[in-house]
Amino acid sequence: MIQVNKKKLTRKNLSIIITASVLALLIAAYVIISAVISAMSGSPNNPKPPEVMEEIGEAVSGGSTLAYPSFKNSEIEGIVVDSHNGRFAMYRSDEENYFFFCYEDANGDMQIYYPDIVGAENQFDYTDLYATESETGLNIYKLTYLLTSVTTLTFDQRIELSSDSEERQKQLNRYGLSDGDKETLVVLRTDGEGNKIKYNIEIGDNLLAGAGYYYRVDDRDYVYTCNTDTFKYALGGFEAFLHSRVVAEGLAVDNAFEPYLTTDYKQWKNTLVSYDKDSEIQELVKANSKVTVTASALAPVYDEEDLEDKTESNGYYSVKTSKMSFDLASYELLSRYDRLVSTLVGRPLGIYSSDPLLATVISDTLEVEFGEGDTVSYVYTVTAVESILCESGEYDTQGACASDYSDAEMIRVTYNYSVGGAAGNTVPRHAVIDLSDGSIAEADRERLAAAKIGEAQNISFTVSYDKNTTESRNVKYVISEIALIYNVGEDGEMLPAETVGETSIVTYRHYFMVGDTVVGEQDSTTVDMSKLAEGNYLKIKNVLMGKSAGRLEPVTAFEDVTYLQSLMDFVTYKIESVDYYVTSEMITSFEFVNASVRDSFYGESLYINTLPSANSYRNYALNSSACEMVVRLLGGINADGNTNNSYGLMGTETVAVGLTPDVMYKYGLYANTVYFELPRGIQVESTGNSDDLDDYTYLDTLGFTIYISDYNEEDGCRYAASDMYGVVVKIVDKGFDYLDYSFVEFWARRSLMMVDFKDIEEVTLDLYMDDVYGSYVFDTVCDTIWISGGEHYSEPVDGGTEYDFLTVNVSSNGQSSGNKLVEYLTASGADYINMADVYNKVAEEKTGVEQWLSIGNDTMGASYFKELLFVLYNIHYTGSLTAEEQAEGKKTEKIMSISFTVDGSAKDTYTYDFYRIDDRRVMVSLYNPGYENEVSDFYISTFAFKKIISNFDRLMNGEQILPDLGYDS
Amino acid sequence: MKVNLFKGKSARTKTFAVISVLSVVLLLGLNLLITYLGLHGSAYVDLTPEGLYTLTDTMERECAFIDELDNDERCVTVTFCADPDTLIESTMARVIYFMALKMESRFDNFEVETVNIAYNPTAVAKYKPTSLSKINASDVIISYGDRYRVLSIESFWTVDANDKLWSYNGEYKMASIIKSVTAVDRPAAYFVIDHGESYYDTENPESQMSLDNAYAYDLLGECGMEVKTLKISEIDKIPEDCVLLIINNPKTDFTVDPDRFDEFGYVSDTEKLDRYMVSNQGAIMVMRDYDESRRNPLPVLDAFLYEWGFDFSEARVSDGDNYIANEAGTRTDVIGEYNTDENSYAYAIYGDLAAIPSAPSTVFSDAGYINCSFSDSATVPEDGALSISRHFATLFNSYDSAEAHTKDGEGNYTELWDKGALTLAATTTRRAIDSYTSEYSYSYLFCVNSPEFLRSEYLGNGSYANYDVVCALVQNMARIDEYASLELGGTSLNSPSVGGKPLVDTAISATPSFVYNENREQYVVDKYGLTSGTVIGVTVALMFVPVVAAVVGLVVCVRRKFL
Repeated sequence: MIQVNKKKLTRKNLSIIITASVLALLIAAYVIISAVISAMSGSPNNPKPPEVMEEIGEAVSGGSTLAYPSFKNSEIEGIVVDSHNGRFAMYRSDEENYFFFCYEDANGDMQIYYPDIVGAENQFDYTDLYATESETGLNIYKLTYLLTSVTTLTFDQRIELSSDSEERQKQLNRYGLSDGDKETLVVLRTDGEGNKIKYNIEIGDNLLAGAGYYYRVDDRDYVYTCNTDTFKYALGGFEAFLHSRVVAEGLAVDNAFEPYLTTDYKQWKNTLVSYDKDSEIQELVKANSKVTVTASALAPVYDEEDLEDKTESNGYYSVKTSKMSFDLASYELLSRYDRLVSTLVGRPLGIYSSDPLLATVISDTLEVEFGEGDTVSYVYTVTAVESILCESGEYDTQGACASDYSDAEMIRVTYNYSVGGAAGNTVPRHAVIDLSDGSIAEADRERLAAAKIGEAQNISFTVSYDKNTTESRNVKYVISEIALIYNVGEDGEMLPAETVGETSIVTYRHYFMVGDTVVGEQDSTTVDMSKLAEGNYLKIKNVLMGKSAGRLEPVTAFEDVTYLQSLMDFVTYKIESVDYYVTSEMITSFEFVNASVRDSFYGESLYINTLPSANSYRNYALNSSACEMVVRLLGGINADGNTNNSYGLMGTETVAVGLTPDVMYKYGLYANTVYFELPRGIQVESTGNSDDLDDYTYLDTLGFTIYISDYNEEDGCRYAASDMYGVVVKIVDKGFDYLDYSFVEFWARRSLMMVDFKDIEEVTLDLYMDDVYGSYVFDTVCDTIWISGGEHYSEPVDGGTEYDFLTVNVSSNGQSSGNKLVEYLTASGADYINMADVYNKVAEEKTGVEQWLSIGNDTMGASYFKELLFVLYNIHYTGSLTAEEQAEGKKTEKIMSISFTVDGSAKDTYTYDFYRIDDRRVMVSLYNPGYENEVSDFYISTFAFKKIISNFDRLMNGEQILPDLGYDS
Repeated sequence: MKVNLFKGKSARTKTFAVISVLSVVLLLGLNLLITYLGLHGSAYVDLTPEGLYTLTDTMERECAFIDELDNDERCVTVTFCADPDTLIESTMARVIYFMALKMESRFDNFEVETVNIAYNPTAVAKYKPTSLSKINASDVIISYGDRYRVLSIESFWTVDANDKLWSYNGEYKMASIIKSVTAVDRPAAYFVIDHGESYYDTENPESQMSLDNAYAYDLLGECGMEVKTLKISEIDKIPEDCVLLIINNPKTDFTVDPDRFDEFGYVSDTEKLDRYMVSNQGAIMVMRDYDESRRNPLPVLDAFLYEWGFDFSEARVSDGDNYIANEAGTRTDVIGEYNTDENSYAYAIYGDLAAIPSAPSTVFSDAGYINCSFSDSATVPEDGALSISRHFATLFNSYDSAEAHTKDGEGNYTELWDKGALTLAATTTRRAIDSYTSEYSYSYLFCVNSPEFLRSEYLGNGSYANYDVVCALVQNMARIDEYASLELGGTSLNSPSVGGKPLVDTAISATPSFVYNENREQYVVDKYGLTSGTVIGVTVALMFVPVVAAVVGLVVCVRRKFL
């Protein structure tokens, strides 16, 4: 039986129970009442949206009210935006599940954003061009953000528009939805049943409080509000959707090698000179500059098929007046640009709209179609003369004819032609006729010369073309390098092969030549040798067969011949102003060079100086650290370099699209130009002991011309763009300071010399000082020997160690300030003395005992000669000299000269001449017969100079070389 | 209540009690005796194969002069800043301590004392010339009269590149320092005077120029240097006793003879400076005027300084935010920003100040700025050398708010030339490493682009830190002890080729000997063990007799009881 201990409830306990019950009741009431109120009216922070009006197309989804029913992102076919920041659109690709972009260019025309990188990079993913959302940390495409926003277009409030048109307009004005203020976003959709649906969204002002917009859909009688950033990116301009990339990222398979193994890096510092409307005297356009003009252009079209909206039916394709740039330096070898070049060079910058400059660029691209035979006759009928091309310029004065000008050379005409009685053209044709062209009868030429501009003409003449006599053009297909050779194994696996065989898969590089001129860039092609059976393919096969991978002496595989008409194609520019020109100075040029083919003298450098031989800086070796720093920067490799990813050069924000002259000018992109090549498909060809000693090969290269502004103090950044991506991005990284330095300041290697003793054939030393003088030749021989048991063998022996054994024989011209070497040489009467003997004899004199001194595996003489070379290698240029100081230096007496011959030929002899230009500075002139100029940009300290002489003196007196000794006595 | 311990006890008990007490007293006495003998006698046996606890004959010979010093109540005193037991506990300190005790017993004019600076920090206050000076428990002070040197225990040892001790070089160090503090000819600081420089004229101390440099003169004296003057064009080389060469605001350039440029043996004035700098103990201070209108051009001196890392601007530095107001209102009395990077050279000089938020300012009056002329980095190898380098280090930058202006057409500093943190003072350190001993030797070249640096009122104004900073800088640069060791010869002690006693076991790490234990509120020793071989040997030796006695006793007991 259970016993309960009954106790009387005290008053105190009763109070506690009552208080607790009341509290519990109050809490429960609060919770319930809050929930009820919230359900009825919405919370203050999230007011209840209005009831949806399905009859006007609104819908509800997930508790949100939508301006129209939600649908899947995949149903969107396109979005067209017309905002205050310009027009742009994005359309779903037909074949691929991605959107491509279109934008409005400076001329108001819609352009497809299809940057060169898309075509240049194999299997390029267009979505790589999409910018990602970074503010939210979601790392999704901004495009996806927009798509999601418009497929679930929410609204929070609905404001009814008045039926009174005046009041309605006031309302629209109030919300920024009037015709002048509103921005539009059109959504093109195809639903699951294939119905085409279009939503026209008009976007007004931002909400007065908080984020969000007023907007309207399909001209409804309502204005909606949304409290989100739905349209933030859409209205922010097209640039916001583009990734701010300038240089492509590396391929995972290449292990971030691409930037390091760059096949070409060039850099120019540019100077922009522009028209100064406030100045009476204008700068004259310089030769080889890049000129920007305001001009229109005309170019003939040949077939009706070529006629588009913008093409006039008069047979011309016209480009309306806009800014155009001409790189005159690139036209140097292209004679067809001569007229344009002569029109611009020496021309004052300024406005020419009242009397525009005409300049016609002539090209010989009109080919003769012979058909089956070797001869054919063309009948031309000139119907109008458009302009007269004289040496002094081009004129289109009404009523003028070529005979009026003593220097007339050509005329630009409108014509029709027929071949064998059949009309050759369907639209009027245009061409340039050379009035001195002998293939046209003289009488016909006279008639043409007399034909007046502005008058209808009907001048017919016949030109007969014969394959044997007609001017022709040869196009050569040249193979320059075999990159990779594979054979296909029995199981289909790819097996590397030494030489090209009948069934090999070969990747080779080639280019085209017209005449003797290389046209375009090198390209890579991969072929299956077994399928090259006929025609030009067979010729390519014959070139490749039996060859090994590597660079070739360029071989012409085949050439095609085209025959040219007497009439010439052209483009005519009508220049209304010459706005500015840009001159360029090449700062540096280099490329990675494989270990096995590195220059003997500059052999330790990964990068070879490829400046033109006429550039004096070609003599200097490059600072590899500087080169590496720059390629790492452009390749997007972290400073520590310990990464397998090269992310490419990226900015923080895309600010413009299209590298038009206006954009280039606005962002200061003319300041610096860099050309940077990334090799792709890299493979290790042969392995050394380290990365620095490997040889590499590659499948293809990607070249980027990068334009970088100077540092912009106001914005605290630089702007950069590349031709491959066509966008201008903002770059905050200060690593680009190197662009501000000259070759001497940044790129030149500061060590005096660095050459492997094994490559040295001869060192000559000439001393011209008052108290130290003489002339010496150190003839070096480096033999490979094998050492076993302390014995030296000239042939390999079991267990022997291979060793490069150096022998140094020294000769002198006998004129010397005195040393042991000359003393022994004179005493012996021999032509030379072995360096080892000098040390042995000195020791013998001291000890009275015959000596044979060695250090390690070398004789003491050879060992200290090597030590002396190390001293030289560790001498660094202290500073650079101005041109005036160099000139003054040359006026002083030369006090020392050291020459290194690295392979026995004069071409590979590097000579250093030393001039003491003042108390602390000794100018160093470097000369190599292979280059055109001697350079004297640097000096070494007097301290270093004296150390060189001291140690040579020690060597020739059989004394220890002391690299760390400051001054000798 | 009185208690008689012997009351009621038997005579046997009483006898045992007395014997017990006497035994305890005897043991204590024996302990004290052995300790005394260990410290002052020769109870310790040097078991180290290197002879670390043995004073070599060479050392005794080199230091024999100590007893020949004038006995004017001064003696060479070696002060250790920790108690003997703490010193003995530390492997690194113990060796030095015993060496000092040996010398104390060997030489009459030599004294060893220990001071626990944790309990009595003011005991060594007289060895702190400035508020920046710091003495640690692991320091050793060697003094003679009012001359002294403060060295760390680590400096008596040679370390390798991996921070491992590999040689005890204490005898050489001790001898060279003693020679330095007892030298009759004190090391000297020379003012160069033949290019219109400003200096303290001892023959005319009342001249304005002397008054301008009076604080610098006092400072050099306090740093243990005699102040002299020097006409560099009249000498062949910088004097041997020169531990600091001061070129203070030269008005004309250093002289050269261009006709002798094609003469190898020609030594120009700047080459004398250069030879002094590359001799492993050079120390030069240059105060240069950035304003060319106040002096002649200095292309020769500038080229020399450029070679050593200094490229001087002609722009004047001003700072609208961090300045001390002057009468002209130019804001050109610029406050230097303390570098708080503990690994920097600057921090090594004035780190204690940099660590204080309200530290007094160091002011640069009427200064230009300096760029580093080394091309790639702040460190360059010395031309032709294998193991010598030159390091450019900023001592003071201006604050970011500073601007530098050049003169306009009317001669006023209005053209903005540069802005931001501009280098106001810097030092290039030439560091050479001895390929045998792995010991570093240093030369220093300090430059400031201001004519006011030593003359400035700020040097004598206790409200600013200029005096403390310059004092610390001078003490760092002036190689006073190397001056003494030149006389001694760098490798003259212990070994003809190495110098020092190379350790058989180099496993000891050269980490600080003493660590302040906050819980115990005192310095404790980072214990280093003896080598394992030595431990085994000593243990066997010590245990041999007791073990043998125990075994014999056991055998005797067993035989008596059971056999």
